[in-house]
Amino acid sequence: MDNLSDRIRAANPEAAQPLPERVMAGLDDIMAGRRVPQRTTGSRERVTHRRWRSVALTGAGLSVVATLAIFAVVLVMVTRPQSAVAATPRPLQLTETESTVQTLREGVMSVSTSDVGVGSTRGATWEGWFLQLDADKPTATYIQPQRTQVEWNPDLSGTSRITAGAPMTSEGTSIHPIPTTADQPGTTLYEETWGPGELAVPYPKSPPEHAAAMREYLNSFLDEQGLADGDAATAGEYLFAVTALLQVWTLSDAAQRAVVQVLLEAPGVEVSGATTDRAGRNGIVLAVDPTSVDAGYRSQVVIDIERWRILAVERSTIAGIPDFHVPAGSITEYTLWR
Amino acid sequence: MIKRTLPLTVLAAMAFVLLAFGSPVAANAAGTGADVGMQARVDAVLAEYPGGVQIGPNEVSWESGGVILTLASENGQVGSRAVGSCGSGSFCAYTGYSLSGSKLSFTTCTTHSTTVLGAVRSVANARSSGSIKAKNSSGTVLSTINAGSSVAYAPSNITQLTCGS
Repeated sequence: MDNLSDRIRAANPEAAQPLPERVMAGLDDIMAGRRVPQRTTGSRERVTHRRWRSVALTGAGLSVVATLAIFAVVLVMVTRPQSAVAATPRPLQLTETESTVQTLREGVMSVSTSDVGVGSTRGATWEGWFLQLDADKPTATYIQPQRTQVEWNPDLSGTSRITAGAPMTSEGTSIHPIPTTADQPGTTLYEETWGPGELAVPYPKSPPEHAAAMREYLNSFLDEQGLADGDAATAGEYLFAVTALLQVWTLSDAAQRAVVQVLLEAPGVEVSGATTDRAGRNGIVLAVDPTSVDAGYRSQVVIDIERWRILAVERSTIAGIPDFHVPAGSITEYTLWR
Repeated sequence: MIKRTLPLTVLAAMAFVLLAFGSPVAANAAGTGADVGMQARVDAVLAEYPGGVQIGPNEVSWESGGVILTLASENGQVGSRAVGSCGSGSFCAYTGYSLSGSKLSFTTCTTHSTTVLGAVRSVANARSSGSIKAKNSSGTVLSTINAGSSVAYAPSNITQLTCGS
């Protein structure tokens, strides 16, 4: 049986009742391709009317088929838009902080830039949860994070793999047993390999490690994408550029500091508070004003002010997504970089 | 999107069609024989439930796309394959590169806005045939994604996906 039939049966209080033999035979015939068009020598209109009458009788009658049909309508078609609110993670809990954008700017600028560490490396790994707007699937009642690993080479070859994480509630509590509709943790959801020259990564050149150069680097991305005037980019636009960068490169400590400084020096950013992120790390939350680049969404950035690096980015819908039962203000995705 | 104003008898009939003719997954009509078999089944559906329009090798639409039937292949196997998390028969936009991030999926073969998703960074086409065009707000085609493939690093200013020509 297919998924739809399973769902119809699941909604039927008499689910244990088998389909009538006549229906099963017809279903088998169709699935096996044995059923042929039933055009006859009569006029199509007459045949059509006869068949519609038959269908109406079927629908109006008390047969099991009609019952299943109505349940199918109720379950799959009519009630779906009225189903439960989509499960989304709870927002981060904020506490007061004495930090301001100005003190953070001063803090990141006070760090010595002469330290020599490991440079940025090609490829990135991130974890997170991301809203899935899928009209063909029921609204998710749990959160299932995923982990993405991207590796690529100077010749623009590379690999990407996405694996499923462990399902949890909106509050972050693990769910046992795993919901039947969830992927088993560790399942590879997507894996792809690209040969030389096949990867069109947005940042082929190594990231710079000073703020001014990083700003230019990000401006070039925004210009290339036609997203913003690089000389007047906002924090939201820079954040868009940065989240793209962090999906391609693992930044060195110095490059991380440069990115944080660029964000703090751009217009449209303020401190929301302190928090513990979804990986249990303490950080300061920056609220970034929405931009036309990512219209309809508000972003928060969690930064580590000990090491001056981005820990997480969270995104929430401003007005909600009614077609998918996502209320205004809901978190629609979060990304963690370890 | 299924319209809620369909008469009950029509809905009942459609539900029966869905029950009888298989799950909403796409089929791979590879090969002439398979094509003929699939077309015969599409013809059977159209004859039995008039008012539908065939919109693909294995798809029939009623109510101006309000109801879509996608027939499974004759052996019950799913011919077209999912591309990443983009389900078979669908085409999808993602907020992250490499089919990561939030996803918005479509099954109806028409033009869809992706603005509800925000910025798009990758696109997948898990339909069994036909290409998807990713366009900006001016209608300029930024990427063309063939059936069963994806664009892992798409231009950032995609605002709509168009199925078909």
